[in-house]
Amino acid sequence: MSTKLIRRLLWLALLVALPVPYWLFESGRVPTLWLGELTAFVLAMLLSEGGMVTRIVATLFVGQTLLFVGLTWLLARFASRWIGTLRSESGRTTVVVAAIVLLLGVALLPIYRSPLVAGGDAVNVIRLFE
Amino acid sequence: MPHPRIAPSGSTRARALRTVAVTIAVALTLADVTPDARGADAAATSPVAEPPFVRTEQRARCDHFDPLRRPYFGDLHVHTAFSLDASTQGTRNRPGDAYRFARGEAVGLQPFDANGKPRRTLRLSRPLDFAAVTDHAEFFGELDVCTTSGLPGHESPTCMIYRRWPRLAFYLINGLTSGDPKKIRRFAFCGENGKDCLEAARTPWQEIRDAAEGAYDRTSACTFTTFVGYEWTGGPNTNNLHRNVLFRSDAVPKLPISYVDEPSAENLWRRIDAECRKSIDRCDAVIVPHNSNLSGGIMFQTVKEDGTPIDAAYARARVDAEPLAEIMQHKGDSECQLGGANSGDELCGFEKLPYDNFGGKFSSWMRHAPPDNNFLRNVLKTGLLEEERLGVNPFKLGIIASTDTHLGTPGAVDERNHPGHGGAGAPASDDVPAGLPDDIEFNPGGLAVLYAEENSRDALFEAMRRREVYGTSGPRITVRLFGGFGLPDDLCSDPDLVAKGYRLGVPMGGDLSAAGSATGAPGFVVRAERDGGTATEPGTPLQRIQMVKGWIENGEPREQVYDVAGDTNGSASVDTATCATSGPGADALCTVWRDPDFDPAQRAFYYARVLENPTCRWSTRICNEAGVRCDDSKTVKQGFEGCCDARYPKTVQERAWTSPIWYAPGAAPGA
Repeated sequence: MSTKLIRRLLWLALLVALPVPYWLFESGRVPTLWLGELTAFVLAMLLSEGGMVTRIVATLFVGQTLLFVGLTWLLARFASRWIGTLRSESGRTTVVVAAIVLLLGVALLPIYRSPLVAGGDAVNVIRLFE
Repeated sequence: MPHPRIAPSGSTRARALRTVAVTIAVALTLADVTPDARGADAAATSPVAEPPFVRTEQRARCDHFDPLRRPYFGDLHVHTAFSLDASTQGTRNRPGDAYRFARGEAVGLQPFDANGKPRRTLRLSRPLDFAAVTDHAEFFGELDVCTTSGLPGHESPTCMIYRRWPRLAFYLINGLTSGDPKKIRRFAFCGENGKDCLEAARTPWQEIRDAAEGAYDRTSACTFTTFVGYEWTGGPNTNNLHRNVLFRSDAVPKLPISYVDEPSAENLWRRIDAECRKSIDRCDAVIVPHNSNLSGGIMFQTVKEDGTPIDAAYARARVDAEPLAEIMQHKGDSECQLGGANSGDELCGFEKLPYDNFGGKFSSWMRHAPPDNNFLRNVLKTGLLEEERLGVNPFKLGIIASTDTHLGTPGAVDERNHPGHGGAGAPASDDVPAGLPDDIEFNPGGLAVLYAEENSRDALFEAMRRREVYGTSGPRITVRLFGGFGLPDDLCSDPDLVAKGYRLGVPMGGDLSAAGSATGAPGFVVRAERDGGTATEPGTPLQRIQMVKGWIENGEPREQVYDVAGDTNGSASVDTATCATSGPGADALCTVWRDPDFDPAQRAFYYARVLENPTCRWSTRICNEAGVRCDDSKTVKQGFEGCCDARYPKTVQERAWTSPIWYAPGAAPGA
């Protein structure tokens, strides 16, 4: 497994599962992918409708999404470099699979919160994307 | 239920002739029956020897017709699922449900389970006499498009956000009405010139009209009255300019004139006049501004929207369109400001919000010291000043209160078991809020009280027009106020107080004539009775009556509050740990008060404020039930932090505010 592939797999898992804080009038803790989905819808609304408030909301979402896309990429990069130092191929694979399973497993626990979903109650990743 | 309607006529002359005919018919009818109804003495002293109002609708005459007028309690500010800020919080009650609730039936409240069953229900302990559903009119069509598959625009990004993340949609869609009014327009998904949404808006508007008609009691029992209405939701730069438009009858425009369609309040008055009064037979409306406390000082200005000083024509148009204002509701009190202009009135610190515009709720940098004209007492004084300058008082405002519920629950004003009112308050769409069910700065709201001969639309509407109305912060306190130069000192013990009040003076909302001022200071008889409550939930005794005077002296506005009856020391108290009350209180208070500082050359207004003994605020009751003790942080669970916020009082002193009686030197109509 190449370092590049490891980085991409870990990055994807982090985007799906790692809770990151966000703020939009109210604060929450969600995966970057969910922020990205929201950003896409708000950008679509901005393109079709315009409006000052939509522009502000879109700017806030785009900024926060890009920030966490970058940070998760850096995290995946550091992790993949460390994993790449392991000598055995099977060892690298095991660590990568374990990390991804751990992240996705944790994502099934109610660790995310957003006032936009379930009234701000803690939910898991499936409920968040419903 | 369908009912016979008076055929419309396009001719002004025909309308005038029919008005005369109706007036004569009502006069003959009254002349035939009133002696039995009111008694010989009352007939001799009645203020309504002439027909008291014109009937613009066909309906049975009320069995309880009383020419001396009775107080009717109701709510003129109610939102249902047709309002964006209600539907995005999970409110499912529609106008028909709201009226059922007002009449005493139970309704379900969000959150709902997977089967659509409400997890909370609510019921009034006493039904209301009247109500008006006043949904935000701006997005009637947009919400219909977003919730009705197949309509053009249903699959737009805006509608998808509305269906998927309603709370986000609340911010995004409302953003349209909270920015620069010059840039307001319909959404692109509404089609060219917004035609798709305007077409869709007919459906909810028709349902609002049908619900009002269905709940209106046209029988002679006259148990319940409804008004067709809506809210014009102007909010430039998050400053509140909201106004409710209440129609006299079922004759209303085909669509409401919303803030999106008409972002100028001045033009709203003109368009209601042109498109309702002058275009539709039997159509009439009053416009009621509310939450001046959140207006950033722009609700009641002495300049027009274009920045030029207001003139007499403006003042006349304004006072004709807006005879009333809402003094208190869910989002706080707008009477007066403790420490504000000229006010050392310590009782002004009642249900105050810590921000002066909506933006301040979300961002501390948008909070400012509230301008003086955010508060009605100052506005009334400004009205006197403007009257001196223009000859017309643009701010001659009668006083009401209401709830502004966003749950479709008119009249839900009980401090006990307050469920929150949604809207700008705490949402409960997905779950019952953990902790306080409403934002700590809000309250259960108040009631409007209208003095009318009977519980019918025409009679109640005329009460609003002549400002013979008052507001309460929730309790059903009964207050009567008459002012006049010939009121006897022993009027409180006179069984004919009301008849004599009308004959020798003017009621709340009226004008004192300067003609009587040569005889000395005017007298004011004010009588208040406590809210009796119910067998299980008795009302609270009265503490005192105050008279509030505003006047102009050497071109400067002044005010003075006089304790005129009851316990002026405020001896009664409440234990906030148990909510047990103690101390003296009155079932009824009455006095004839004469202004000791009266100067016949000074323009003035007088209104009564009636205070109950203090009781526990809604939040204190819920905090106590949850076992919160502010000296033990472990007991302050999530959501209950507000219980220990020292900025908010633990007690409330419920009250009633009458409409003012105005005095003007020189000729004036009235007593």
